[in-house]
Amino acid sequence: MRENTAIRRAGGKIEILDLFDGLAGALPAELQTKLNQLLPQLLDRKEAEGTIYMIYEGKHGVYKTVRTGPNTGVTFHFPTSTKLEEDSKSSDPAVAEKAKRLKAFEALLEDAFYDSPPGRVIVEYDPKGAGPYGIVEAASITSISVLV
Amino acid sequence: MEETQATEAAQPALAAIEIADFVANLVQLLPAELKSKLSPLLPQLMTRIDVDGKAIAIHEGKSDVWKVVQTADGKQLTFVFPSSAQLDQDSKSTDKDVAEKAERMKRFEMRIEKALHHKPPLRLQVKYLPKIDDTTPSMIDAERITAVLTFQTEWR
Repeated sequence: MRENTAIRRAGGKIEILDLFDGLAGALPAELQTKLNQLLPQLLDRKEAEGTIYMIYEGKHGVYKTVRTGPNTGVTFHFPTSTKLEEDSKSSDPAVAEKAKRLKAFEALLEDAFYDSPPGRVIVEYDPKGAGPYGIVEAASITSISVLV
Repeated sequence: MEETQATEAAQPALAAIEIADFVANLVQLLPAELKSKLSPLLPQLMTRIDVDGKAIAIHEGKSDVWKVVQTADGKQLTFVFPSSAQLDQDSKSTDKDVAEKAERMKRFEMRIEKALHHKPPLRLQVKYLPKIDDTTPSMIDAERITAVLTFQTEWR
């Protein structure tokens, strides 16, 4: 994990790394080395690092674009806050849990956008979640860090 | 995934995706001859007006709330929202369409509000459906809004 001043964080990356830390600690040294080599494959993730450039509040959802360079960005699509609120009260624990996670992710990006100066974010996501126009479904986000 | 090029240029794509999804679903339900008839109508269906500027004022009245957006060339456009009490009431309606519309307007209102109160005020782009009756072209009912974009760019 990065060494920096990330103070707001949500997601699964810590848990996964903790799990591997624990696992690796129980293994002999040579297996630890092999495991470390396999980790990047296992965690097939991409990162979008930058500030939130734009929030698009539409009829069917919210799009948040992370500006990763002078002329590049990655856009994440979230369901509307109304839908997330509804889903978070679902009797299906999986639906409720997912909605709560997305709400936490969205809240981090929201705060970073409106912060003065805007917060720098690192959004880690599964690249398989990219759809048409290169827009990434928020459900593919695995962790978000906000650097202050 | 490759990072999307040119975030500025990505905006129309963002707007188009929702409409495109809707139309794609609609078209699937139609017989072939209707599909071909629908195609020439699409440009009209997708017409949206953009106002690009910053929110400069909020007027809270008895029965409605006005949010004034000013463009770079000094033109002002007023978006008329129902009162928050009305929106709250509507959002609890048993009629799903009414409730959804109220929730949507609440979200749009929140975006304009946040951009206005940010220091410095943030750049806003409001997309709305054109009015058929243009006797008061500078007054737009909030229910005509289709999207509100906020940019992390200081307004100049």
